[in-house]
Amino acid sequence: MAQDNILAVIDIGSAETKVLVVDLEPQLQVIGAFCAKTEGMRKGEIVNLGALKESVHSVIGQAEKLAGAARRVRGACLAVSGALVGGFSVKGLTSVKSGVVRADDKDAARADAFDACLHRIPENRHIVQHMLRRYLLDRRQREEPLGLSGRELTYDLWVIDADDTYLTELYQIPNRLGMTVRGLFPASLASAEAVRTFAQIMDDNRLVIDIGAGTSDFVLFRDGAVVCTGVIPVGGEHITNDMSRGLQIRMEDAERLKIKYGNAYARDDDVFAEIDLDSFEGELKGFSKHVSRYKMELITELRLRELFTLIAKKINAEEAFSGTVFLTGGTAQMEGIGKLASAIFGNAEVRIGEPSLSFARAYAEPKYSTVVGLAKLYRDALSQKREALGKSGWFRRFFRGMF
Amino acid sequence: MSRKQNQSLAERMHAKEWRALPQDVALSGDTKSGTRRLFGEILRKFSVVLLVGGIASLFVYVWLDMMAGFSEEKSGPIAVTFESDGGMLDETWFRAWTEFDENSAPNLHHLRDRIMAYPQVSAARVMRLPNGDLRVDVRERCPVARLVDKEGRVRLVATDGVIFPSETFPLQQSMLPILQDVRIAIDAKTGFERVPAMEKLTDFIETARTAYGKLFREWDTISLRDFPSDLRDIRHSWSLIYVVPKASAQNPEHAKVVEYVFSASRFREDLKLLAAAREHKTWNDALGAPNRPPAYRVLFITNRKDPQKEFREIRLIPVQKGNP
Ligand SMILES: Nc1ncnc2c1ncn2[C@@H]1O[C@H](COP(=O)(O)OP(=O)(O)OP(=O)(O)O)[C@@H](O)[C@H]1O
Ligand SMILES: [Mg+2]
Repeated sequence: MAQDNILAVIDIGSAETKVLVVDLEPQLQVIGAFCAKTEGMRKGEIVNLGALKESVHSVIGQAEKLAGAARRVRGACLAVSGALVGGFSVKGLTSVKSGVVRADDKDAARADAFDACLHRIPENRHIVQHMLRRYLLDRRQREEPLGLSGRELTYDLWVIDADDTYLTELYQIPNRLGMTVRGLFPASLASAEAVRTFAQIMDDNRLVIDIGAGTSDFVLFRDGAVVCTGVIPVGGEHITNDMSRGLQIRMEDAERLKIKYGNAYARDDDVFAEIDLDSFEGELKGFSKHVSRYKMELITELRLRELFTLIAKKINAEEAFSGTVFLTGGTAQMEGIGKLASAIFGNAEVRIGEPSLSFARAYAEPKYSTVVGLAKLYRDALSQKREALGKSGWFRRFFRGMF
Repeated sequence: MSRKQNQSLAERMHAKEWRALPQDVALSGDTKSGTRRLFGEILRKFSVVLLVGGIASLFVYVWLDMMAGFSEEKSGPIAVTFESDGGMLDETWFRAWTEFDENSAPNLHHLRDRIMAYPQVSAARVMRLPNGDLRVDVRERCPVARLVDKEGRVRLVATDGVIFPSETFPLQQSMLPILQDVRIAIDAKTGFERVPAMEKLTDFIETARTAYGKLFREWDTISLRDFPSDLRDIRHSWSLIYVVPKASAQNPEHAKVVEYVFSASRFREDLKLLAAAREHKTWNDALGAPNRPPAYRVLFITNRKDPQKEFREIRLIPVQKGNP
């Protein structure tokens, strides 16, 4: 029997696909997980859908197998990321007739924001998620305007949208395996959810950056609310690529070099230091190749500096950022990356975030942030929906599961 | 903004959400694991169908078996092959007793129940032949004695004690001895009237009929007045069977012997003794002497003078004629 409370949480990264098979009831629990190289995806974009499907399906299959053969997963939860995902802000305006903000006024402002959003969003894009950024009452920020007096109420809405072709291609992957997409979340929000620690209070100002292989997803929270999300098409793969070109070495070597010796903060103390590529894992090659350590670090730094500068530009557009920076994703394991980020984000405190949620203790590696956060987000959304619906739905759910 | 407008706005918003994009959920063999899953799914569906179908057909089979008859149709009258091992019951009886309607397919179970309701039938089997006709096999009860009630109606008693009507039996069967002083019981299971403890009596009658035919043919009535109805009765070991011989021309002895009194437990010895005595000429001498009493009751007793060698012996007890 297909079980409705079993869900495949899928993060299709440019480098690796991570799948968690989770049991949603009675509490979130990972019952199977698998992670393997992704094919058919380069720099965050789908370049070969067939190969991508093949590789993702095999990862899902492995994860299901680990979860137990009898479990047939019928639902999937996905993360969206890449250049075809965007975010924009729209504002809804209403004049407060009675002088004091009432629930009506809030609704009106919200409706105006939705209306503006529908006007703004192009024909060929769909909304992935939208959320309230803040209320403005007479241009002053208010957390909860109810009961306050003013003349003009603004509802500031943040909308994350994605291209239809990208979404339909993405849907196909679980659909062809007989799974329905039940949840869809921006990778940035998922990663931020995963690295949120208990000690952290919700109204923290923080910037979470998930630096993957092909893309970097970031999300900025101000006073606990999402202010801005974005995807920068720069990641670890670009660093590897640059190294391969700049140092005239093969891609595989560049990747290994990066992981073993990579440093995001170029040290100019010994500019003539060299690294012997032959020292890798005793692999024998016809000739010996030495590369300059300083050059390599410089390449890395330049790429990451570019990335951080791009993000900094986006987040500082409205208001200068101050708070904590969380780096996560595979590339966040890079040596010296915290130092670099701190330098760029105005000497902010930088932490390397690993998923710290209790249900996924075994997956406390930066690259798992997205997938772990996804599971958490889906579960939270589900409990909210259940609370709204009440218990009446179980019968239908049971029967849907029979076939 | 009115509520209605709000509602349509919410709808428009929904139409623009990711959920609104159509999903074509279909297992297809695009990829290796997809193919594997597809096969697994087909296999699973197939086995579910097979299982459900199997259970359903089992139910249908049981139901059909229960209702056997209603379902099968035959155009034209249904022929019946009737067979009986006793040979007394025939198809005419079958049709009359069951009120057989040859134009509608009967319920075999009801038909069999109806046949079994006739006390002369001890077992029956009703089958439907592949062409829709019926085959009925019947085992009959075999009569060993007769019962005559106050109205003079004659009924027969089978080996197992069941009493059944004698209409189907020809007259020569009336040679069977008549039982008297019978306490008739009702069989709890079948509802038939029966003579209790008949097994023992059947043994007696059959022994006499097969081994001592000459004696048996003279017998007229058998009285069970000292024959307990329950075989487990403590009195059974010394219970008695009274036999009255026929009064007929072929039976000159009848004038003299009014009654034989057999022991129910030792009747074999008694019969043997009697048969032997009848061959002996002293028997006729004893009965036929002119100065002898006119009638006797023949008794069998155990001589226990020597406990080591006890034996049965015949006693002729003189009785006053007309007052036994
Ligand atoms: N120790 C390390 N130091 C530096 N880089 C690393 C290290 N370990 C992994 N990486 C890099 O991290 C990247 C993979 O990270 P991750 O798995 O988060 O990416 P992804 O989620 O597959 O991609 P994306 O999120 O961009 O679609 C690879 O480019 C890899 O080179
Ligand atoms: Mg990722």
